[in-house]
Amino acid sequence: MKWQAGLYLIAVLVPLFAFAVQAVFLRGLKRRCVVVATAAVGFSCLLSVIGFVDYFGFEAAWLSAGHGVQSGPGAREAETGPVVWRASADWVVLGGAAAGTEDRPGLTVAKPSLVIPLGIAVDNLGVIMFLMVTFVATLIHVYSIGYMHADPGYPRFFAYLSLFTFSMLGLVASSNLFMTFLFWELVGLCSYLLIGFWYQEKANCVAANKAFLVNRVGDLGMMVGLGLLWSTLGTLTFEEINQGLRDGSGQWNVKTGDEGRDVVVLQEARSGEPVVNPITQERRQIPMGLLTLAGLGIFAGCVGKSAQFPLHVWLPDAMAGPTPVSALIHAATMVAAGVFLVGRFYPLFTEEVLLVIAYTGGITLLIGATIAVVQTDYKQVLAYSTVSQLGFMMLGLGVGGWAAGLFHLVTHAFFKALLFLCAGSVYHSVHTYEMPELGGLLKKMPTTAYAMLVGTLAISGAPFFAGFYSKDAILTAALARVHESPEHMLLFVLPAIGGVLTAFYMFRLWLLIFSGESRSKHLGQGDPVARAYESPEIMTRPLVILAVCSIFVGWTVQLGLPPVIGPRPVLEQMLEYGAPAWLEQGQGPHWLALGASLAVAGIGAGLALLYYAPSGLPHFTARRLSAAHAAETYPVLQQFLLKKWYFDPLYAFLFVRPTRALARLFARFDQTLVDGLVNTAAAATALLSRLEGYFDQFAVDGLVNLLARAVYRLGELSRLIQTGRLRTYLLFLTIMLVGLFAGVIAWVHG
Amino acid sequence: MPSTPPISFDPRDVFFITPQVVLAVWGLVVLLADLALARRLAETARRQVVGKLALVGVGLALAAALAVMLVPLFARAFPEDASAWFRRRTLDYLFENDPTIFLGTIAGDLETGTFNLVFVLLLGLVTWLSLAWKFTEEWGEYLALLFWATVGMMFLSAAEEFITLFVALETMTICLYLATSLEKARRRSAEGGLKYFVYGSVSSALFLFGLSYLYGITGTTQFNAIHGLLAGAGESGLAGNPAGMMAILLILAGFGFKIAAVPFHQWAPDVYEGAPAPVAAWVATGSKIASFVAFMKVFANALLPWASPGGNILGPGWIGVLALIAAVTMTYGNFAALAQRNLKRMLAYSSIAHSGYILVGVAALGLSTDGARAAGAVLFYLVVYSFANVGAFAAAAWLMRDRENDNIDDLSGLAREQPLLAVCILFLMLSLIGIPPLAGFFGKLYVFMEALNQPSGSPHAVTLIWLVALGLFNSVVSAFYYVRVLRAMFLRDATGRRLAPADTPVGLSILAATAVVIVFGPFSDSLMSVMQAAAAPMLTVPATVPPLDAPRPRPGKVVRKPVPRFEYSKEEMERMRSMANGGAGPPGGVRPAAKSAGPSAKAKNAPASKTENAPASKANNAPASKGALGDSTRTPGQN
Repeated sequence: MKWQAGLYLIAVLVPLFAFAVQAVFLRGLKRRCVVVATAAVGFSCLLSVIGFVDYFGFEAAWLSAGHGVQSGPGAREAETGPVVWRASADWVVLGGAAAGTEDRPGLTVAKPSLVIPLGIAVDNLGVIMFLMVTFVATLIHVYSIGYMHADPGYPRFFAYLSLFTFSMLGLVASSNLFMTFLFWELVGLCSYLLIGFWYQEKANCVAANKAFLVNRVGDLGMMVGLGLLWSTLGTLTFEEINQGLRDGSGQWNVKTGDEGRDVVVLQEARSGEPVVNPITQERRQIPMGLLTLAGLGIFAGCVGKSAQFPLHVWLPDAMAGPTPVSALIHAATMVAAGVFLVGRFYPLFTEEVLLVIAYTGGITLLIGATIAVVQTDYKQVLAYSTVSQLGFMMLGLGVGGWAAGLFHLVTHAFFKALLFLCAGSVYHSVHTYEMPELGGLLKKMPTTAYAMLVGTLAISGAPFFAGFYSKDAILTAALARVHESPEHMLLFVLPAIGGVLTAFYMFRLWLLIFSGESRSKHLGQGDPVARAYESPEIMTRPLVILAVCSIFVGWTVQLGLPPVIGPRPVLEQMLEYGAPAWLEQGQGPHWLALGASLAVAGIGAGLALLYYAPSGLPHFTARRLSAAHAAETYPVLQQFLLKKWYFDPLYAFLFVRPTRALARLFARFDQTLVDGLVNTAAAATALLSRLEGYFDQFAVDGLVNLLARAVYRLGELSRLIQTGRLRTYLLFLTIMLVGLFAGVIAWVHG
Repeated sequence: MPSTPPISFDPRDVFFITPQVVLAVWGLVVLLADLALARRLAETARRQVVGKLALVGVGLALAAALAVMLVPLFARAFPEDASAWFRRRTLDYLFENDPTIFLGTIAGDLETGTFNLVFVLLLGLVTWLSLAWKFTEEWGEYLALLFWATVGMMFLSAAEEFITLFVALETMTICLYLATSLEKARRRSAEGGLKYFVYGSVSSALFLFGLSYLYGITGTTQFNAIHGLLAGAGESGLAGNPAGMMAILLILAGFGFKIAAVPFHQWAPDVYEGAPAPVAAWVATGSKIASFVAFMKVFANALLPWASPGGNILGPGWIGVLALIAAVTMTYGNFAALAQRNLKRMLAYSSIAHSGYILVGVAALGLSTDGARAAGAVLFYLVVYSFANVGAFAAAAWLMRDRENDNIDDLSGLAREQPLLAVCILFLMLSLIGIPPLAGFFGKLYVFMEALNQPSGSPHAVTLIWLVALGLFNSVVSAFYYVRVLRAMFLRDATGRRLAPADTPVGLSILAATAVVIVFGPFSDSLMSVMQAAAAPMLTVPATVPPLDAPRPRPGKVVRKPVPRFEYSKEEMERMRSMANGGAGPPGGVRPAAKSAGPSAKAKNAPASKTENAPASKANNAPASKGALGDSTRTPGQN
């Protein structure tokens, strides 16, 4: 085990320790919980920084490798792969000797056929995710100190946050799908707990339940995939499966099986030998169809967790939780776990699955973006924006842009956390989520406003902001995919439309909140804007830091020049270093893609300005568009979008109501038939009780006693022969021996 | 046939029976000391003085047993260091490739070393437990009998030949007959002793009768030679061989008596109840271990070719009989134990039941393809069962001392009076039931796993699955009567006289037994690996099997091979070290068989070599090495 593996192990466990301390001493610590939680996550962040610097500064020759990719996929050292820091211990060993048993003369130890290891494996993706998660989490912890200040559940909140941080880091670090699944459920639990943090209101509990139940649907698929892989390949370790199913050029290790079907054989990555079950000596292999099914199952889990169509409905409701939670869990980290897992397990997915992933992402990003356009609740806008952006990432991965999708994951984490925290800052000040009541907050809370402007620019894809580079990378990848097979044209069209809509609704949001004058002036004292004030420094400092990050994480080394001109972004190259060797990455700069992303951002932002820019701006007086007019012109469309494509009523009609009807039916069955039976039986019992009294005394007691006595009598039968008389014993011995002789002679001769 | 050299035995062989010698002599010392000196003392003082003296003897025997076990291991692991400690001749002797001593009559290998140690440890506990209270007046005789019984056990587990086996068996049993009836104040003690004696004599007679048949068939009493002859006779087994069948059944009757298997069990409850608790413990543990070891040597080595001829479990072989006896034994023992109120009587029936479980393991051993592993499982079970039982009998001794009665109900309220020891007894009972993660569970697990570990589809698998299923069912039944003990301790209020706090003898026995069942639960594989290593040399067969028409080797017929007496060369040193490290040395001439050829070839060229003191190399040319882990085990399935 390298020291770095220990470092990351500690980084994972410190928040758990903090959680344990807080859970045990909750009453004693009270508000001091925050110190424990923040110090723990800060320490993890520090360790992650050390790990990051060591990985990219000293361990991995990632830059040269990255350049190697640009000069062609063959130039990379395909066999060695990225540097990985691992630590592992066998937890459950099935079908073999215990760990540590060695062969010795006279005793050959069978190798176990199935092992469930507990292990961490941190590669370049892990290193980057660690840094991102701990950094964002630290800032959000700090922010929460201010935001949750007045809340009575303050200590509980930080305990949950610690548990979440541990689970998320565990998810990132785990070396196998089994552990990933455990942490997957743990983050789901934390999400559930924090959505329903203000459980006194029923709506929050309903939202928490909804999130939990919708995720179960996805997890069912995940378990199917897990079971398929476990039963066919006998391992769940990412590395073994990722490297074992395909050869160096990305071709499946296909053998024609016994029944003429194609099977994919799991191979030893180093030697290329097929892996065999040590007990049965059978090859570990999976039929092609089952592999697709397993991939779809795993992806179903990711669909649930990352709020992809059709399971995206839980995420907007999850905004019922405190805003820092929305920022941390439902924007930056947990919801990205699905994307992360798709990236982590990428070589498992067959061509068909990747297409499904790409289209799922495309549909999701369109649905999310269109709904976000008409929402009036600014947190809802951000929620749908998250859904949409997650769709971007999935699409990026699905079209083969492995690094592009994950690059967007990281940049998105920064600017979306920033946007959510800004929204929280606004809410902290005005106590409303409704944009029509606001306006003109720029003067009241300038720091928040400018930070949010940075976030808006970043997510819209304005040049020199992080989102520009990642979205450009995705568009490039999509373009390459479409170029390869033009019938999938939609895979480029969808993100382009989504990009326009993104810029539109984000500028709409910013303009409605911050520009112009308050639209609630008629309320006088009740005007939320009038009472507004800038948030305390403990909340605005994280905003500034995140705003800075939202700009520069996407930069190339040459101060943010676009990739067509300068080299590609550093972070993307860092990610690319660990991409599957056979996957053609970074198809190179593409003027068309660059033009498209610039156009997309420009059109979206321009439209938003035309609709929502405050009057009185120079050059904008001539021709204005009216949102109200547009709504009047297309009332059906507006209702359709306002009602969020009617997903909730549809699901209610298809699933929720039948389930409830069934439940009611069972309840009625219980009430009428079962209860009736019980009542009748009770009456009958009352009538018969006297009779039964007699019956009990004589028959039942008699029977029970008889049974008990019979068992013991069986034992006491031994006394028949165990007389205590020696002559009986010897007689018995003689009889038995003679009987045995007779029996055996008859048997041998018979 | 080459001319046979004169019979002679190597006096250095005595080294390997040092523990036996120490115990035999110390038995006399204790007896004489008691007669000459201690008679004048008051009763308690006398018990203490003689008891302490006996414990010193146990300590000496322990040292001897450790030496016998460890010296060869040490010499093989560090030949260079050892050459500084020992003379060349001794070292030659220790490196000899022959596990048998005294003309091949008994073994001096890791198996005997391990079990000498187990016997001495158990003897220590039993002796210590004996000092708990006054149950006899003949302390000298009593302790000497315990010691000599132990000598018998040691020889029994070491025997490689039927005459030795029988003599050792009788040495052990006769001492136990006498010890059983030494509690003269109780009528049941004398009665139990008499029953034990008469029943045992009949069984011995049957056993000896069976041996005579076997000798008649094979013309030899050596286990390995018998194995070779029977294996050479082909696959027909017992079919059309009524003499062989008589021999098997009679020998089975003799062993059945020793291990208390149904239908040869009837003495056991009376003897266990009548005998003083320490003696009962010694009958239930030491004598059972020794008998099972000998049983396995006879059946899984000498008579293995008759196990299941033609690979059919229901063919004419002893496996079928044994499976039947195992099934009946465990069922009968468990159901009979249900009805018992007396703790020792309950333990007697439960020990019958445990014999049944162990017999399942022996049956599995007869079919196993990895003999060492299967036999190791049985040995593991025996050791764990023995320690748990010594603890349980210590509880009985405690009751007898303070309440003068040893019914289960007399344990009532123990949990409140003596919580620590009550919890210890809880662990012992749970281990005897077989609750994880205690050692008893792993014992059952290993034995049953071995039984199940047959190639699927073979007829054995089906039969043994039923046997294992019956064993599991019986384990559930056994929970009832063991839990009755726990119920009395934890759920009942105290009745009768208060138990005095347990003193060292009782407490130590219970604590030590508990420690064993707890420690070897989670760490079962360490004990298991020792037991497997010990089992390997136990099941050796001759490297070359003489055909049936070849001249039959007679016992004691030896071939002398000259052993050189000059410095070990560097090369030889290397070879020894590699051999000690498990045999993976340089290719060619490193396996033990080839190794013995090396020095003798050299000896021809060495004029200075003297042969008169060379240790005799016995008729048995088994590849296993003296005192070391045998690195070649037989695979019975291929015979």
